[in-house]
Amino acid sequence: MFRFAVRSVRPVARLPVASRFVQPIRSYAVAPITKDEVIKRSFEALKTVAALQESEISLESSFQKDLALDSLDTVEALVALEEEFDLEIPDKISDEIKTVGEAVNYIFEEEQKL
Amino acid sequence: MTTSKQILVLYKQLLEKAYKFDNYNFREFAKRKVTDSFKANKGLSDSEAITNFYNQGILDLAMLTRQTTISQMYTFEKLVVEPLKRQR
Amino acid sequence: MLSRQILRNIARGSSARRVGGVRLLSQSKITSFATNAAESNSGANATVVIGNAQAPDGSAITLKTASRDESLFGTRPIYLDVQATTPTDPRVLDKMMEFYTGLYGNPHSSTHSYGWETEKEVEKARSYIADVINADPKEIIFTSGATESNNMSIKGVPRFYKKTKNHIITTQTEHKCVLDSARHLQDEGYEVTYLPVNEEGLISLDDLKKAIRKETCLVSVMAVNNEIGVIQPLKEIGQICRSKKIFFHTDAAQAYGKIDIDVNEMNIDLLSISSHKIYGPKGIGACYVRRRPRVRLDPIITGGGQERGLRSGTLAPPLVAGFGEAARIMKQDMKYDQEYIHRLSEKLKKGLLSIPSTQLNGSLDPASQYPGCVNISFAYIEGESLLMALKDIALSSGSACTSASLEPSYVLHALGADDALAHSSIRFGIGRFTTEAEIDYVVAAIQERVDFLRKMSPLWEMVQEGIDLNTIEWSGH
Repeated sequence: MFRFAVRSVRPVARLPVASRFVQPIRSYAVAPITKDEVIKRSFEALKTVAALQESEISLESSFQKDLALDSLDTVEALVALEEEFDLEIPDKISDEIKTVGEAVNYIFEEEQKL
Repeated sequence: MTTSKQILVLYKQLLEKAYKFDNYNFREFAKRKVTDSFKANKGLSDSEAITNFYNQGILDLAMLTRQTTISQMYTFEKLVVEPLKRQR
Repeated sequence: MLSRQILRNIARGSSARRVGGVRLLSQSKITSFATNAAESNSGANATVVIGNAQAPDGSAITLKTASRDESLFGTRPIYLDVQATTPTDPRVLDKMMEFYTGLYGNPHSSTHSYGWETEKEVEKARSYIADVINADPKEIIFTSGATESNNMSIKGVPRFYKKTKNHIITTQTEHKCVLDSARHLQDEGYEVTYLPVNEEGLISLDDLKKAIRKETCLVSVMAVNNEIGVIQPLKEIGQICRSKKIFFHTDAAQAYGKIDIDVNEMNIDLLSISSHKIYGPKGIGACYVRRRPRVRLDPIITGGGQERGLRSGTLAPPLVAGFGEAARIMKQDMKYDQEYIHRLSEKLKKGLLSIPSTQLNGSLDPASQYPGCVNISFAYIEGESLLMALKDIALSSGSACTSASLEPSYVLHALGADDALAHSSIRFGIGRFTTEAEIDYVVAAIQERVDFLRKMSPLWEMVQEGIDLNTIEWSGH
């Protein structure tokens, strides 16, 4: 029993040493997700929407006014975000989301709840 | 009478389902097909044509629900172009 | 709710550790590549960044492994061989599932509703299949596939008319099953003319006219070639055949639903269709057999007299319905799919033909070339070795039916290509489910590996030095 415990401790003790050489790229998977991470992944997800491939996206940009999305494109953008973060934005809330920043805020809040 | 709100809700549901294909090629095709067909029919004005389009969409949604379920039950290795899904 | 949270956290923790482990491994691998590169490449351009490592010239590591982190991507190859077979469309499978669950009646059972409901669906499928080529549903005969349809047509028609006629005409670039059926007929005493093709793969109408005799009963010319994608002038051939009262058969396995075919406008009398080339189920096909003027043929399979007596045997409703649905979708989405495939094809061709000493096989005229089939020769490279270096892309150097042998393609030979060129050709098949990202990947991978293989090739070195390979006198071995 005791031996077993010792053995199992060792690799854990070694891990931080290794991670000094190799930067853990996926630190967010353990630590709660940061706002910057949400923003970065949101922008990446939005770039997969055909209508946004050439657009300059910022937190302030409004989907319909600044990014010139029609109602279909806006739905497409929101679904892309849903899929990226594996969550569902209810219709009531998605109706109120007008800018990228608002979407990011909603996602960030939801991620904190997990 | 089909409202634009109904159409948008259907569009969202179809897109969400399209993403659910485990098979990369089917998933990408379904996404492309759903967006392209809605965009191509954006200008529909005849209410009967809109209702027909909507009803077809409902049938497609049922089909996608069944087929994405099957796709998730029979999974295969990811393709070389497919980034492995981030662990959450 | 709480338990869900806990579960999620557990999942997060464990997967993170695993992912971390993989990262650790691959990172150290890349680091070691980088040191190798720095050592062997001392001085010359040895700026190596970890994570985007460049391996030394001539190292096998250059095969993509160094340029990206493999652990972040899947391993299954990209499917670019749609001329061999296509994935079954989920919409088709959805239709077929009904027949593997509730609709299991025998369509030939006429005494109860199980039979009737299945029969109704079978006839619906038949009409969808007929619609694509503007035929009458009664003219569609279900078979096991295009090979059977070809056999049925090419052996069946001459055998029926053997008392008065003994000659058929086909081409040198047909599919093996057509050529083999023709050989069988020769053994039975018929005469066969194999028309040559020009360097684009097209037959000459003058050759056809000259080859026609009083005893000719059948002309068989494929619609779209399976190796190079060239489209034969069906309408002109049909016109010639009709004016001479000769039956015209076309093997449309690669063409059906992909290019516009109208059996009446093109005067086609028999046409072979395959279901699994149009995203339908494998194991079924059809033969269009004209009723007016009636085409008579000696059936290969006899029995209960199903399918107008031309092909006896109980139908397989799941396959028939899946085939019908696939045909319906082909017709419904034809324009959409054509535009998409055309766009990807142009992108692929542009990317691959930018590699020096490459050549497109097939026709340059868009009207006689199907864009979903791109056949390219990479000079000074052996096609098979390129295929071996392309384990991450599912490709073929020719038809799947002949790839068991390492012989160069007879189709490319017929085009006038020499052995070396025929050996260095690869066929790229683009379909409805091919994505743009896949095309980008393929172009990059081929450019990289052609370059790599050529660096090892002494022939390529000589060509680079300006030596004309034809002037070399190779010593005997």
